[in-house]
Amino acid sequence: MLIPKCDITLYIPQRPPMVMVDELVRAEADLAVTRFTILRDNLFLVSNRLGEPGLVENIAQTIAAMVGYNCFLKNIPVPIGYIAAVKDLKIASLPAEGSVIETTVMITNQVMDVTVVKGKVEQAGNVICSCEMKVVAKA
Amino acid sequence: MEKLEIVGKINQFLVEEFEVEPGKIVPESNLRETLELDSLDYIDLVVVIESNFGFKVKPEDFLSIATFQDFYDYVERQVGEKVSV
Repeated sequence: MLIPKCDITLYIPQRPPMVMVDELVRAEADLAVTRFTILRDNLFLVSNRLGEPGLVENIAQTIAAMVGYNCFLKNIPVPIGYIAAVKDLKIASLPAEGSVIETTVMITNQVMDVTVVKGKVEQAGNVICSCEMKVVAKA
Repeated sequence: MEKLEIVGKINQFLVEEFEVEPGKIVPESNLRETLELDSLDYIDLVVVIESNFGFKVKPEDFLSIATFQDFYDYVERQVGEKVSV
């Protein structure tokens, strides 16, 4: 693990109760993996399952963690990022309260200020959510 | 790559990516209006061009592209330059 739960907010702009990633497990220049345990008090819990917005937010925060960590390594300011678009969103199932999800994001393209990222959320080895996200970053 | 092959490949990914009816793709038609492109769609267009033809697109290149024919000519030029390098 690169960043434990107690330190994750040093690398992402979100604060409780909006934090949807616990640990940064792996980070490279264009790839990152996070882990997240879905607790009972999660804002996006609906009928004891993490709702669709929670999964999308989890992917977005994994991107934020990747960018934040890489900026930390380079000792440069973290740019502010905005979700510009979510495309090809596929959700196979909603993870239950108490379960652990692992999320992988990979930068596939960079066009001007827009970064195109593929994201997937896995639970127990099965992909339960995937999408392409366009993120606009402003320094 | 022959021009006809380039045009066929472009038309195919435009139909798939932008869900445009093949009959609406006419060389003299306006690219942006026909495909109803917004700024984020241009990002998708850049991505599919780069992945299909293997050259890097500069966003300013689109300033000189109005019609489908302009688009075909642009891609053909870039593919030609890539081959000659």
